[in-house]
Amino acid sequence: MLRSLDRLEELLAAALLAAMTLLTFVQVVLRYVFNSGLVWSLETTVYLFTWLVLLGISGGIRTDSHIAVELVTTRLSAPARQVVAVVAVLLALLYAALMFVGSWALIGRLRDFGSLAHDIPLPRWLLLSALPIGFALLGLRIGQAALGVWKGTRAASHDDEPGSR
Amino acid sequence: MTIAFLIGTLLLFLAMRMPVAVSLGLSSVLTLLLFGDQTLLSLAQRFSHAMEVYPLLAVPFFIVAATFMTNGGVARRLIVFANAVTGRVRGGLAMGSVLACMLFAAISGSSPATVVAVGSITIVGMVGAGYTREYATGVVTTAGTLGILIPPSIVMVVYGAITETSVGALFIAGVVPGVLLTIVMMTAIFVLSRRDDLPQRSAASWREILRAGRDASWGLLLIALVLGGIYGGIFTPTEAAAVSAVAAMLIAVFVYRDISPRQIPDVLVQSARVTTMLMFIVANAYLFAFVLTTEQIPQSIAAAALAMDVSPWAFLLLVNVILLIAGSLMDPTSVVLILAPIIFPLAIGLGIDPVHLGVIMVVNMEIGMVTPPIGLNLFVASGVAGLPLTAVIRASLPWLALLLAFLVLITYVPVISLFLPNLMMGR
Repeated sequence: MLRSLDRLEELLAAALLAAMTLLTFVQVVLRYVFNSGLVWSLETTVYLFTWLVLLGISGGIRTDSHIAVELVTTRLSAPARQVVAVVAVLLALLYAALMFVGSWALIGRLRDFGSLAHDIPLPRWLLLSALPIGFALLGLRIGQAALGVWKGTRAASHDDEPGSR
Repeated sequence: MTIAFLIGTLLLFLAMRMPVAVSLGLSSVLTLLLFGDQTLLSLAQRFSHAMEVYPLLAVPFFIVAATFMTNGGVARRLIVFANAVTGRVRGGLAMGSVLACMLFAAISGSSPATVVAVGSITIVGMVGAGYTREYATGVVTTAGTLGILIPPSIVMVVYGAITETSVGALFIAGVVPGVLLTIVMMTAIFVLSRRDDLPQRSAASWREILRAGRDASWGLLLIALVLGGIYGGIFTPTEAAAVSAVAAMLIAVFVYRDISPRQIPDVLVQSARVTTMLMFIVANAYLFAFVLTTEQIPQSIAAAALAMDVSPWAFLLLVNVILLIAGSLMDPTSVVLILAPIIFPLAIGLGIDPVHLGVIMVVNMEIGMVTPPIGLNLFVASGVAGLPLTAVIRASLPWLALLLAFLVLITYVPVISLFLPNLMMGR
């Protein structure tokens, strides 16, 4: 169940990425070949990008693919490393919580003002709700990782994913 | 006090092996909450702003293009072509690998991706032809750094976005240094080929070169499309990136048929993962830059530096040392995102050209990628070549010296970087 949910998350990201790439491509073709264009194209691309990134962040925690600096922790003793890992996870949780509160306030304000997007007939709070959703998911995933660190099932060190940059 | 807290917490979080993105974000949020009068709301707004920066839209598109080209056969055909061109001389295969890295760098914006794409084919080829595995690996590890110097370049996109410098101008500025470094490396291989006892192959006939060129023509066309489009002023870098992503997909799936249509979602999933990882760092770096600006930190450093009456010459030396150290510890994007907002205002105050500074930073990041302990190219090459990390480090060491000499040249002879953009953009 959880596994198919993960897969769904990945495919959604792939679809968002494909959509924004094709949209920009079509826009280029329209502009240079047919001398016309879609006014809503750029703004739509920007919001697709926002959703792609915000929904993807939590997946990065799951696959442990966010870049980190290994240098110091690998020199600590195993128990010390465990303590550092727990504190690090709690701090990351604090980050997710603070950013969630900030983005919740942001979409609340946008809702009160009732501001609409420029070229898309949708309210901005709805389009930017990717932020609180993304940070909530991030918090959940970090919580999940925290349980792992606590139980010691998740190694406190790992290799960076090569070839990704 | 503010700056000490900001930098101190950042370093502490990084040392604790927290992700670079979260370290940047949390140290910035805490600093603003404790010392500034910003609300969490304005921080969230700042975060989402990163996805609205037009030049940064090029990042996902270039990543999609590179993923299709690495998984498909574009890289392989470019290598065959490069080797045919350099076939007739001693050390030709090694020179061909450098040339292949340059060609691949002209369609991909990432150095480790260049090492993977070129190295996974040429290292085996060179070993089969009688080169030592160490020599072959050293050459590709170093030549792979061309990935971020020769446009397109993700590091340049990120630098341009955070410092509001024209990405197009940066791309043009990377051409001459990139070609120069390629020539320098190929010359070094050729000059030392007798001493290194490199093997020589029978020369490729003109017919073979032509055939290899025809096979690689789609890849070469892609280079012409992307670079020609940007330099000709037809596309913005972002548009060129989207065009090259779609073209790379079409070529891999329909022309070369190395990727079946059913594999497309997986290529996209892979690209999406790399994109979010990079953009998460970028968005948090915008928070970091926001703190620097609202707390006027670069201005206070600038005032202190001005009081010390530092010459541009000494300033650039210091910048290089800092960048080299940072580059050996962190990945290029993170280094540029953290240090560019601090260094940039100082450099501008001293009259250093923003585009020139960008090229200097990129060359430093190239060196960082082959410098232990954290050199992405070293890790990737170790995996690709099947050599232990220490052996890769040793194999790259002579080339590292060459890169350092190149850095001095680029730093103190700005015309190498600025000649082409000044000429083409009439700056």
